[in-house]
Amino acid sequence: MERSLSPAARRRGVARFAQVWARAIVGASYPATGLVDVEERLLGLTERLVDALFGEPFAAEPAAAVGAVVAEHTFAAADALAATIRVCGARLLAELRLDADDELAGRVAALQGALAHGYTRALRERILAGQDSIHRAAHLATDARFRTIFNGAAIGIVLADAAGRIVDANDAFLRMLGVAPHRVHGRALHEFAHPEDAAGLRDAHAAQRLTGPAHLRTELRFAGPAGATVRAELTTSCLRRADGRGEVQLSMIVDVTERHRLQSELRRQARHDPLTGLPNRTVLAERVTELMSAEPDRRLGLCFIDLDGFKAVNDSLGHDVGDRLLVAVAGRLTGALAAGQLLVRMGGDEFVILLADTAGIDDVTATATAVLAALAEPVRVGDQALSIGASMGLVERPATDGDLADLLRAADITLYQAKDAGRGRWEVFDAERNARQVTRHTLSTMLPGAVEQDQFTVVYQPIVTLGEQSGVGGVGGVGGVMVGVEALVRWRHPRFGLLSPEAFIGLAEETGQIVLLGRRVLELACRQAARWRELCPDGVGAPYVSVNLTARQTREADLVDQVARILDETGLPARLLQLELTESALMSAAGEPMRALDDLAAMGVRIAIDDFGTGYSNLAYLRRLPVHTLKLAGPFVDGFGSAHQHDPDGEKIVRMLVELAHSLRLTVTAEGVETAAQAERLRQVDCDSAQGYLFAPPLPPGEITRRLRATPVGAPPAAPSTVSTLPAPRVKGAATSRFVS
Amino acid sequence: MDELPGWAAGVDVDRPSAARMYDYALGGSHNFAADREATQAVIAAFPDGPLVARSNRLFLHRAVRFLAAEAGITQFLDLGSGVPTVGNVHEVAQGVNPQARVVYVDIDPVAVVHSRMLLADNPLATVLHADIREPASILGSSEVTGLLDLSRPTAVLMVTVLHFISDGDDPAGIIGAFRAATVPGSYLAVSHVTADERAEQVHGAGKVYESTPTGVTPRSRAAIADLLAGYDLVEPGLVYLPSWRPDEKHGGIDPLADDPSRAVALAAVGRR
Ligand SMILES: C[S@@+](CC[C@H](N)C(=O)[O-])C[C@H]1O[C@@H](n2cnc3c(N)ncnc32)[C@H](O)[C@@H]1O
Repeated sequence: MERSLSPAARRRGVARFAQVWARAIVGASYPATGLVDVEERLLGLTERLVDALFGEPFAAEPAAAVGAVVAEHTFAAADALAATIRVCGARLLAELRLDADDELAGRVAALQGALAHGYTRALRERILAGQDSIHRAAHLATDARFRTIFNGAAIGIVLADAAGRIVDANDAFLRMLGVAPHRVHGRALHEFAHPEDAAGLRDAHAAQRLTGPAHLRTELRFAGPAGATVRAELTTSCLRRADGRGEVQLSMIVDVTERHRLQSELRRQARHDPLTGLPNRTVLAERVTELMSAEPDRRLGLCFIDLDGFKAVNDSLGHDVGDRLLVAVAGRLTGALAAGQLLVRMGGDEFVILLADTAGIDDVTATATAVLAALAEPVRVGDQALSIGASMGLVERPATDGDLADLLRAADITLYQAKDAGRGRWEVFDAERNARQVTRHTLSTMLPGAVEQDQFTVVYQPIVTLGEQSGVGGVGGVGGVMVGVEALVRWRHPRFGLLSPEAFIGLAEETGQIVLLGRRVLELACRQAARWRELCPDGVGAPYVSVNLTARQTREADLVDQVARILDETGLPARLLQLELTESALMSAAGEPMRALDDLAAMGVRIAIDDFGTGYSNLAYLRRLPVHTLKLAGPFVDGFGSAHQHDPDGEKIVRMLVELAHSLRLTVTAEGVETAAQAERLRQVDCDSAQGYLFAPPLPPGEITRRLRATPVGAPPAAPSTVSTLPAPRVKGAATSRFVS
Repeated sequence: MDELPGWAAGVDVDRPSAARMYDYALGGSHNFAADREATQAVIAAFPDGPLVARSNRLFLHRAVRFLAAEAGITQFLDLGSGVPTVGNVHEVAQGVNPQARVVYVDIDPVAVVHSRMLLADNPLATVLHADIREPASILGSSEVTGLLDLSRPTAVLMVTVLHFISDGDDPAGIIGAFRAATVPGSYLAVSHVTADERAEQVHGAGKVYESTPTGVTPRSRAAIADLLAGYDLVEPGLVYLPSWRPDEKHGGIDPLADDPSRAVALAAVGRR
């Protein structure tokens, strides 16, 4: 197509159109720049449109590119497109000063279409790009927010992948362990755990990824900065894929090191003296209790130390110097300790050294010597040299003798004896001396209150069989079956400590208190025996309890009623109660046997003669009395000695006594058995049962319970052979109770 | 507003934001459905809304051009900069002087991230996520101290942002803090919505903003003039947007030029 349009006319026309077009666009939209710039850019675009308009052959496509450029440079796009289409239709040919023939009008329309197409396509791209970028911005902003939370969190957060490899860890975690981020990525959390906790954590995490649980909560240690240990509470949550396998493990780690430190510090403070840092009374009590509840043959020693002249230092030089002196002394004493000894500050200027598993008092005196030597040199406090001495009370005994309070009381009493004797020295606890010091007078005034206040406790010494097989499996033939126990009373005196019966039974007998006391003991013993019986299925193997009766008790008018009532109340079968009487108690003042015994025997209660052989041993009355058991006194047993100090005559007497007893259908229990040789010979002379330290000391009831539980259920109480030779029902329980062990 | 740190307020694309609503009103695509819906609500109450946005944007354009070309300013602190669109402050300023430096500040986390993406390659422009109610944290930020030298004249821009600051947040104190931080010869450019005319429409539109993190507080001409205390306003003083130094050649054609009060916002540039 040929049109007569001079280059100059075309240039002017293009410029005019660009101006009109620019005004239309700028007025309709928000352009990036002002009119001037827009006009300039549209000049070029108009050239391209006019080129296309006159193109041969005609092609509208170039207008699409023009539309794209317009879209790129305008903002309120829809308005700009409308303005452009309108201006093209109305003004393009007019500004070129051309008449709109059909063909030209058709070409303009085609150009408009292409322009709109190009514009729209470019606009669409721009909108999509804009949406992409704002979504991305929102995503990044959210991400940044979570990262801020992640890193700002006070707790450690670690994210691991499906293989347990760490993909992200926050600042708190890195700080907690003192590691750099690059050392964490790709490794597993358990690699940072304390070596002892690592395997456990690895397995738990692996298991969680496979099967669960969704949340795992544990406390463990991590290897912290510079070799420190970090205690942490760990919660790991596992996010799962559709197939159920763990996809992400999110662990939260809270550092609880400080809390632990505080707790253990508090625990330490509760157990330590703040001034000297030494363990306190609480620790001593724990250790002693530990020793007491261990095997019965353990022994312990205690050295109770009180500084001489400390009060003078405190008063004259002040508390500060006094305190520093105590710290220095604590240091000296610590230096004097042998392995395994425990030094405790009791308070004030009192210290205690506890020795475990002592062989005898010599161990304790050696410690006391070391203490005196440690304090021989004056102690320097600041620029003062202070001479300080110590007085000590020493105790050494089986661990099971009494409790901590008794032990301390014994040591304390002894300490004061040492002080009285002139300070700077020690005294060894002497039970007899102690008992003597406890005057009859004070005791007699206290006895009634003691019965009321229930200051009496009962311990039990096992009575074991000596039959053929009784020793099998036991150490040196010691392991006979426990058939009974002798109840032995103790007075837990608030001031004098644990008093043994020698100290008060005679007194109680004289004052008549024995009646109440005896009833109390009988009650306690029967109740306890009934409990033991319940432990034994059908009562098989239940031990009898042997309770001592004094002469005065046997003469009580209502003795039989009392026994009957107690058996009834406690539910103990009469056959499991044995009453022990001395020979003298068996007889009335008139020399007649006590009538009450017949009644008791008729009820089924067993009667034993205690200390048989120490009195007149009037064998004649044995036949007339309802006696079931003879208890052989210590002196007979002593004669059995060892192989070296064999006493053939003594052995003959015992053999005869046993034979006599058996012929009268009595059983024989030997008391005070201390060596395996004694036990063996007693067995050879056919003595039925025995008691003594060889088998067991008097034990607290709990210990008897423990032994009963440890014995196979239904173990026969005696060897079958022995049973068959004896018609008397001796197996069922002889009762031997004495107030004196 | 409470004392929550900015990040705790979170990014909620389901909640309209003033920054993105403004983008949509201008015809941009940097917005979400919630923003578009809220903007439509604004338009329903106030049909001139998009035209006002365009008018405001043209004022910003002219003001920056004036500051860069005529006042010789090379440093700009744009407070409440919004979502970047076309004709951004750094484009206009650097179009006049390629050495011009710009720090953008906005409270909207998405606007900030988007700005950061856009400015990644521009060493003379940066963006700071901050609240203009805490001038000290803005003035002390590494973005400001690193890019701007406040011992030389600086233009502080508060264009269409002060009405997002309620009286309780002490707008005068905020402006005073930025004024105090700049030297004489520095400038302040402000545009501010007013309900002196068309009050009903303006308040109707303002209601919609109650659902955004930033409410709207239109102020009277006198109150706006008070906020500008301490600045000598350049010609023509405090006027409706289209009337501030119209310049079709460089600034485009204001759709409200024929009836400037339809723009419901007053504009001014002052010199310290
Ligand atoms: C309408 S836009 C103005 C954008 C630009 N100044 C303009 O005039 O073209 C208002 C901007 O101020 C921001 N804004 C509102 N309150 C703010 C505050 N307290 N601190 C910082 N920015 C704020 C909003 O996020 C929004 O991006």
